[in-house]
Amino acid sequence: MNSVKIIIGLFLGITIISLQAQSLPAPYFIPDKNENSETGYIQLKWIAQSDEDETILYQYQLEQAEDSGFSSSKEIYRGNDLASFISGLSNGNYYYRVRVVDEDRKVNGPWSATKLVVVKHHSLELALSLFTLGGIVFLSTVLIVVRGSRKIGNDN
Amino acid sequence: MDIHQSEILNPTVGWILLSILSGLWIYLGFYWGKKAKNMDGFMLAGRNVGMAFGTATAMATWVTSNTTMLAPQFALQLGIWGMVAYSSAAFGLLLFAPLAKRIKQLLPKAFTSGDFIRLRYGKTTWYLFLVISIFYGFTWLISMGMAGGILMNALAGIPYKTGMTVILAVCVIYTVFGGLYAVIGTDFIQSLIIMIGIVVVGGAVIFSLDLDQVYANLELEKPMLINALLPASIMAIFNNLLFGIGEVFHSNVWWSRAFAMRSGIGQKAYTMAGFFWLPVPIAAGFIALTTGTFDINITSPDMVGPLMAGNILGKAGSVIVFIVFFCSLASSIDSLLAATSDLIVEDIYKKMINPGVKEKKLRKVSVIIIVSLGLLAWIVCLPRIGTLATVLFFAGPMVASTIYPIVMGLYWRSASAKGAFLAMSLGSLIGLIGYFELGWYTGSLIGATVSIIVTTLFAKLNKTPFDWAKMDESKIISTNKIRQ
Repeated sequence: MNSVKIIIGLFLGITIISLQAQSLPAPYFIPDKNENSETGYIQLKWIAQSDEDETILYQYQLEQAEDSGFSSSKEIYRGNDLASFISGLSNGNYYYRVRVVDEDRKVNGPWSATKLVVVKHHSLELALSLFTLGGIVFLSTVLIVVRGSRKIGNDN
Repeated sequence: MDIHQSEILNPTVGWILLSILSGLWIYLGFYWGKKAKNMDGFMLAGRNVGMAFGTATAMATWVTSNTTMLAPQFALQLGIWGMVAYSSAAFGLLLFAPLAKRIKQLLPKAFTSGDFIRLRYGKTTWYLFLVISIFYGFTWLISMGMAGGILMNALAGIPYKTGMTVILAVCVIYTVFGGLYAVIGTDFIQSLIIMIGIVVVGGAVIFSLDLDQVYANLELEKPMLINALLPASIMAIFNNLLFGIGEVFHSNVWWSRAFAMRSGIGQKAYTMAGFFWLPVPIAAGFIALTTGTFDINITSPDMVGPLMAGNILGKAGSVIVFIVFFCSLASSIDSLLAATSDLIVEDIYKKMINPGVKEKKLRKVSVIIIVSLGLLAWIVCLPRIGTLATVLFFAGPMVASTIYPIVMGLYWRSASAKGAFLAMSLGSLIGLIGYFELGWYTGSLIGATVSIIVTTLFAKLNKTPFDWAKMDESKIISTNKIRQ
């Protein structure tokens, strides 16, 4: 009899938690599509359905992983904000997902659809070429100013 | 959609601070405005600004909200080199120093940078220059208005639209009443506050941090920010430097100060201002690299400066940060309003529309233009399109394209009107292609490169050297009167 009560209690507990979790909305990223980055930074924005009327401020958990299965994911952010700016990423694929969490009741809502960000930096050759070009233009400018000032000074 | 960023100060405290600072600045506008008895007084502070005020106004105007907010954005997006790239804009002031002396010598009675282009290159090039200069001035004004809204929102939770409206309104009011006297006078106070504030904030940040921890966090979480070979940041270095040079060389904000300073002051004032300014973006940018260490979420990169300073220093420190950032904003918005309205009033209204206008009417027109600029900026700022960097650097190719027509026009008799016109048009166009195709951190470099090639080429081909006597308009008018 006691074991039956325990089983019923467990079943009811799991059902309640599932129902509470289901009552938390599933957020989505804005824009809801994969993105590329040539600079190693990206701004992720999201919203949950009910946030759109701004009366409820949910708590969110944002995760990042380098595989689509999130086998070795890490938490990037937990809080009320609706965006996070991520920078300094190396070349590679980065997967993101976000969900609403309720820390008081210790339940989590369903995950959003996964967003893929592909980081492929500009080529170093291009960067160094532009750097060299910039150096030449800058030094030419300094030369024009210095020589021009001296010439005018001598003329005066 | 409001992305919601957790604030540091209580909104009530933010409002109190904003009200006190706004009231004080408007009062100062009235107080200094009494000195402006004529247009020389209103537009150029009597052409008699000395060393202390001259250095302070140059430095304070260049310490814009872009310095306090964009430098950290650069650091957060582009790492160590991003910070260095931003501080390279000091070369704009340093290289303008000898130009300030030459400008004062060549155009003793002129009012604007437009006067130089008109007298040196003629009307066609002048029209193009006015389009570029006014567009840039307006873009800068928009970035300032946006920064005001972002700052109030980040620090005190004041809604973006409200904060942006207040800062623009306050600056319009005291600029309308005080003209350049009020602008330079408030700049002096603002530069003192900024320098003291940056030292306090910078010192507090250094003492709050374990630098080893900061490095370890960056190495783990944001490795490319401490990578000396981050391609985007390498591309940004000379792009930002040339953008800075282009901004200072062409903008009436700096030319009006060169005209306003007494003879012999301009070169020294700009040189000192350049050196004083150099470490400011490094100090401001550094704090952006500590976001991971303090585990603070940044929703938008242009908010990182005030947010990090506020979080590191706590509520008391946030008050200091609020005041410093307000000063940096106000010191630049007022300069922009004054200088851009001068350009429109002198070059468009007086020279093109109503040449015989009396001074009293001209003053009224100045007021209308200042208010209109503020209103137009407000309308464009409302939707908050883009970040500070993308908005400001859109004008980069255009301003960079003006560098060589100006600097060669000041020193080389051989610089030609055709070369100047083509340098500005092609530099702007090709630079903008670079901006969209490669990124916002390349447009200025490309624009400047095209400009230097075209201006030099046409100068070498020019067989008719320019007569410097044509630059002094008062002599031309006197000669015409004698002939009559």
